[in-house]
Amino acid sequence: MQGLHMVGIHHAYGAAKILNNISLTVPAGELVCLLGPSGCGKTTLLRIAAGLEQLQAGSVTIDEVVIAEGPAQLPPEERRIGYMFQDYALFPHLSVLDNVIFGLFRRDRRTARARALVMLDQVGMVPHAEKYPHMLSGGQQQRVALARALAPEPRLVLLDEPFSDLDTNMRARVRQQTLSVLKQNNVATLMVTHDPEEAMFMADRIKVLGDQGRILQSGRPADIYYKPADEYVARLFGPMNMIDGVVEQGGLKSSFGTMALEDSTAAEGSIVRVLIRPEGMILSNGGGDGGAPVDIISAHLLGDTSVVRFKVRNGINSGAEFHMRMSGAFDPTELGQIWARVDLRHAFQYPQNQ
Amino acid sequence: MVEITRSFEIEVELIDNDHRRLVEIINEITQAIDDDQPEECARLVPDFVAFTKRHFAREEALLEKNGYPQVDKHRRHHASLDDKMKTMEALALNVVDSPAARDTLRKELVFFLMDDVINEDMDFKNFLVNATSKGNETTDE
Amino acid sequence: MKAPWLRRRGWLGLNGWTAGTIFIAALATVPIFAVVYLALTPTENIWPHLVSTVLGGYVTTTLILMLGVGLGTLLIGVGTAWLVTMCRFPGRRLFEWGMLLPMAMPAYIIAYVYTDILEFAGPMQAMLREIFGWSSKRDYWFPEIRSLGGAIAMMTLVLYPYVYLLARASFLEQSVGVFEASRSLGRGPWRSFFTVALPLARPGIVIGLSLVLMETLNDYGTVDFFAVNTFSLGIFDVWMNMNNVSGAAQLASVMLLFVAFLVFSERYARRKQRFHNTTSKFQALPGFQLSGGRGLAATFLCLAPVLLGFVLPTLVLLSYAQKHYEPELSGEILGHALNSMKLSVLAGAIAVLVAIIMAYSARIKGGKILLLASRVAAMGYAVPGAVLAVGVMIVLGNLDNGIDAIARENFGFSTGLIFSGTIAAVTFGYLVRFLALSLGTVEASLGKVTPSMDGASRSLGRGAFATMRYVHLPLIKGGVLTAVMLVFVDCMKELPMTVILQPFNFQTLATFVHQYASDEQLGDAALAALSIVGAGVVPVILLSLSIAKSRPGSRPGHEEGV
Repeated sequence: MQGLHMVGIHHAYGAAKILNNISLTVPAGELVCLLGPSGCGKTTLLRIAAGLEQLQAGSVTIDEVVIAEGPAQLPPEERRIGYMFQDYALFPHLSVLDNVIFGLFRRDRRTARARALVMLDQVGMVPHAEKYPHMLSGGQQQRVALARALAPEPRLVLLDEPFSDLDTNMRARVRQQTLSVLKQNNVATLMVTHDPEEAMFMADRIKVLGDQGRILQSGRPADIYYKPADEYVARLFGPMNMIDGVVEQGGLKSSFGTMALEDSTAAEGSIVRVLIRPEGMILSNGGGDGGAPVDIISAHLLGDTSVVRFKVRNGINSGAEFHMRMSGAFDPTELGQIWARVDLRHAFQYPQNQ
Repeated sequence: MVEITRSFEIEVELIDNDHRRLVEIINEITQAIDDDQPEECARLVPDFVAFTKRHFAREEALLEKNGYPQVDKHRRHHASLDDKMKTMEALALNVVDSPAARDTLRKELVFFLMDDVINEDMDFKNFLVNATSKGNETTDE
Repeated sequence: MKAPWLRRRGWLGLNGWTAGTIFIAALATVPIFAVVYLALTPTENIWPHLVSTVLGGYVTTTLILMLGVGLGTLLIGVGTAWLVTMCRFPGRRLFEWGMLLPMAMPAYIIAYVYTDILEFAGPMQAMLREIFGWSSKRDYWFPEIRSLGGAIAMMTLVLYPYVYLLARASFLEQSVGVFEASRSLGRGPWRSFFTVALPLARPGIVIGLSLVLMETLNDYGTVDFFAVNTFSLGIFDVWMNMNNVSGAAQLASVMLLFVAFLVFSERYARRKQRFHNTTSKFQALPGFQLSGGRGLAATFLCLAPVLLGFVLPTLVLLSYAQKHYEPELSGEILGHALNSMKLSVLAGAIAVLVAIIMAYSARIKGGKILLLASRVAAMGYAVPGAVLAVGVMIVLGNLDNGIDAIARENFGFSTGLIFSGTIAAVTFGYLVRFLALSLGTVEASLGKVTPSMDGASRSLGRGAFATMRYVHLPLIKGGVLTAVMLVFVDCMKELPMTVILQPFNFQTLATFVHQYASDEQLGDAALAALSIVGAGVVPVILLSLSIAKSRPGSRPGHEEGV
């Protein structure tokens, strides 16, 4: 199978184990994203794949050739991998064009130059070919770094937090462009990031790396978002609402009434923690659809959505504060009691004391 | 074209054979998608799922027989893949009218087998290879 | 399928780097150990004699000298740094870099100049006598320049720029925001200065003072000329006049105690300093506008040290050079100049080569041992030239004797002196003393090449050596050249080591000037002195340029758009 295959990677810095039995597969043409908190684990995995870090345990295979296993490790310059560093690492003494040509030294001048220009065209940087890196903005540097990494037609591309240094306006545009260019070149790509939205946008498969150095969940963006394996993964996408419900006669009872219990084997009377996304709470004027009466604390218009904070009045979770997200503006002058209910698609149940 | 190449081998005949069969089915499904035969594709996917479940059972039995200490953990892992198999069956029903579904299905099958199934099997590779080389049970009889 | 060419070693596996660095560190410290060893196991022990006669004097004199110079440079350095960074007055922009000019002057040169001007027979006193009608020494009092006080004054004038530089940097980088906060909380400018800005700048000032005092200890030309009995002079005296190497070594060892204290305080202060990028932009400071009389006073306060420390002596030397010009003598001076330059270029090149080796080992292998080795190897800057010279002599002397003994035993002939009294000896001395300079510059330069640039180069297919050639070399070229130049200039100015170690019939510009000035023939040596000052101006220019670069609006702009 063409692409990257890493099996059983362990890595420790001194006593701290930062990678614990990591395995992943990136088929050619696919983009796999390693999502995890800011720390050394994710980048270390990238560096192990590139040969910039010594492999301690496990094996790395690219295009069916073992490039690292045990003490035998192919040096980085022979792996034919494209690496994009978080700080872009453009060579300050070379022009944009010369930066891109840097990896093409095995070709003759004319072919190298032609190939470099093709890549610069793909990222839209041909007009800036003669400029030097310090004259470019962050987004422009990122694009040059991408072109440079792809120019030698690598078998694998590694991206280390490629968009984290860009400001938000630039980020969306550059992201789209990067994805197009990668797909256009049909090369296996492994990317690491701490930004869940970025992972969801770019990846064919996301692997969530926990702070213990283990993979917590692997799957499509939808799998990760709508079926988070545990609380940690659920909380990745932002602050969650949390209530503890009690199992009662086959249902889960809380201040919002009784909701369907996911785990039918849960013992009667046991506690189940429910994490609810802000968009999983629905406000309405009456209690007809179920839910609970609430007191509104505040409403904040964020543009096309609003965040509304409220308190639950009755039941076992009374007094708890929640926040919900809705599209449009919340009208606080609406008369009558506001009710809130839970949309089960965005609520995830995790039995406690398991 | 997917293939069980060396880095994906568990080096236990029973399991590798099952994996190879699964790869065959995936290649048939991909071929059906490429040849624009969505009905064939919709037929093959449930086959794939069924075979996968049988394979899981065989594998768990083998692990149990050889006394693999983390057999329960591996069982739970297999159980957790139920959702994904349901998703793939749902996708299969949509391949008739959705090119996006075809694309997703193709990717998901490969990731499912090569990452979710085989990569997790790597955890017991050493154990099982040692156990079987000592002349223990290699079949599920 | 396993690739048959997978190698079984790690990243680079070059252990030669570590060995090389440790070897260099050992070489650099051998002279110091030799001094201490000989001091403890003397061949002709005159220690009791030294203690009962001159030691007390040396200690007191040296201490007073250090105290005086320390105070003087502190006042002038901090004072002018404050004025230049915090206030606005006529000429401020000029003084920003102008205050550095006296750095180009070795202390011994202005000592010679001022002695010439201010001594009894000199123009100053002659003029005064004429104006006031005095005729002999008993008619008036005039400060004796050739004294401890005079030495303090001379050294203060040329060493205050160290304190100025570091105080200025501290004021700019560390205290802007805090200072403004202090003022917004109601404390006036003076109180803010003393209670906020000054304490924050303390580490930088301490570092500057340590450097000043190290240079004070190192001085030989001035104290020799003024007959001020410091340790430096004592070492020369015991060595040259009493012919007792052990005694010199013992005095040198006591001097090392002073040095150890200075190094300790400098290191301690460095640890307390916050780490800053030295190329940080100049922040627009709230300049106090000094109007009218106060402005002029500020201008004068800044002008005086520059005038006295650089402008006046240079003008005097220029007039001497013109007056005493003789083609024959100039030919001789040219010969000495060439000697100086050859020696300095050689030392500079080797110093930089060594620095590159050490910087690379630190980069490639890293680790505490290498870091320690680097630190140790660079210790030479703190050790006074006289002490180092003694150490080098001892080491090379023993080496020569050892080789000679072996030769006589095994081959039946005497090899004589091979290393002692050669260019190699002087060069070795220079290297030990100035390695810190080249190491610091090269390290800073190499530091600009980020580890990710290395990684990028490697992932793009270039191996370790190709990376060095295509990425490192172009980027450190500038720094390497600067390092060569800095070592070159310091070698040109160096006096005590050269006097002790130079080969027979070999003179550098510095020793030439010293000899002639001691014979009251400064005029003839003026051209040589000017050459030394000329060389010394080059680093000042470099520093001034970097000061100018750190002003706002001097960095290239960024392009807009994605």
